[in-house]
Amino acid sequence: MRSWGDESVCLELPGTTVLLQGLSSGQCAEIAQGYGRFVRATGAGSDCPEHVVCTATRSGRDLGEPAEIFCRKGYYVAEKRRCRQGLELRGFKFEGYFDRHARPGSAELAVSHEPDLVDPVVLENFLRILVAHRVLENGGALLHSSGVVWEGLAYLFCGPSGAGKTTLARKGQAAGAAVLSDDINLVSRGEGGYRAHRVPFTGELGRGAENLAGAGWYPLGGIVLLGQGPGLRLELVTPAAAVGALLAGCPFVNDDPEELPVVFDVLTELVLANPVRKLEVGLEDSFGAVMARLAEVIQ
Amino acid sequence: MTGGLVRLSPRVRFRAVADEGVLVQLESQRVLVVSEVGLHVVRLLGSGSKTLEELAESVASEFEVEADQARADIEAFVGQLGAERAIVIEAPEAGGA
Repeated sequence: MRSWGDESVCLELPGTTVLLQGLSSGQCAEIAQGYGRFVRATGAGSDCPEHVVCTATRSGRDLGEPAEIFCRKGYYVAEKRRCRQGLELRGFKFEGYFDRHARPGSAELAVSHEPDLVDPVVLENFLRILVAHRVLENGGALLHSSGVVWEGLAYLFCGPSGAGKTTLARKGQAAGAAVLSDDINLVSRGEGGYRAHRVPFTGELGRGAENLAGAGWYPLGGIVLLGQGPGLRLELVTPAAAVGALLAGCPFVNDDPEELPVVFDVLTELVLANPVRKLEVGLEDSFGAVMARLAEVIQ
Repeated sequence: MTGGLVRLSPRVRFRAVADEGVLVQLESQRVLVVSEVGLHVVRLLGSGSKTLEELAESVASEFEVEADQARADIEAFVGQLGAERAIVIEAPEAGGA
């Protein structure tokens, strides 16, 4: 397969660095602009075991299948197929390969047309899948959630669509909190406890976090299973119920039989270290009231 | 299903978490959380095909439950697992005396 050019760009993502090579100068410039704070000097992380070298190539066939064929239960889902040592991926306007075991990691991302590579639907979704697998090895996970930073700590509000994640994130933003993402967040295990990281796939509201100073991560303040109710109601859930709820919102890896043992391990350790609570929030409840209620129980 | 055998579907993965269990059905991506008793049954089903009677006897023995109650609980639980496509039911062999 032919590459698009000789340019490359290095992205430092939570849990992994990705060297995208084989880019045209136009693709390289667009990625550098779109992923601003995550761009590092080429070569950064190349000695790190989590490093992944991803080659961008021209696909030999037209990858213009309609987006609808990748829609499952209302969500866009790229197809995955296990092969060799890794995963073959096929999504809207791209196909790719990711070797899950090689060190450094190797990957390939192919599109039919030059601009498709930097289309967020393509690159962002490819990186989500790659990161979701890599972060497991560091005891972390991607979680469907709203991530809000309040008084220096990150709180993850998890739940299915309609649980109120974006609504609460909007309330938080209006109250002065920074929103990491109202769609997907990454937690990892670090020295001193768990952390919530900024990721480049931030959802609708997360762009505001681009202006935050800091190391790109925040100590995890708590994990909450969010739901709607007549008013504020908070209760501790059992570790198994917490693992079950988080597993349902652990994209790209929760349907992979090969990864599930590790996903179970990661989530079990996460919820044992961070007891999870279920929180019902009413439409009229303010963000301040929510955080005050959480502060009563989360130290 | 009386007399038939039941086993865990190969499309299910489960894990004990504290004293409960978490199951995921890979095709539907449905996640189930089961109690300590449920986890005991799932473990039995994961170790090989069992009859409802065998499951009920084990539950009655392990959890000091009356046999009738254990049988009723097992039927309800296995029905729930069946609705979630978490088990495979093998029909009893035809024929016999």
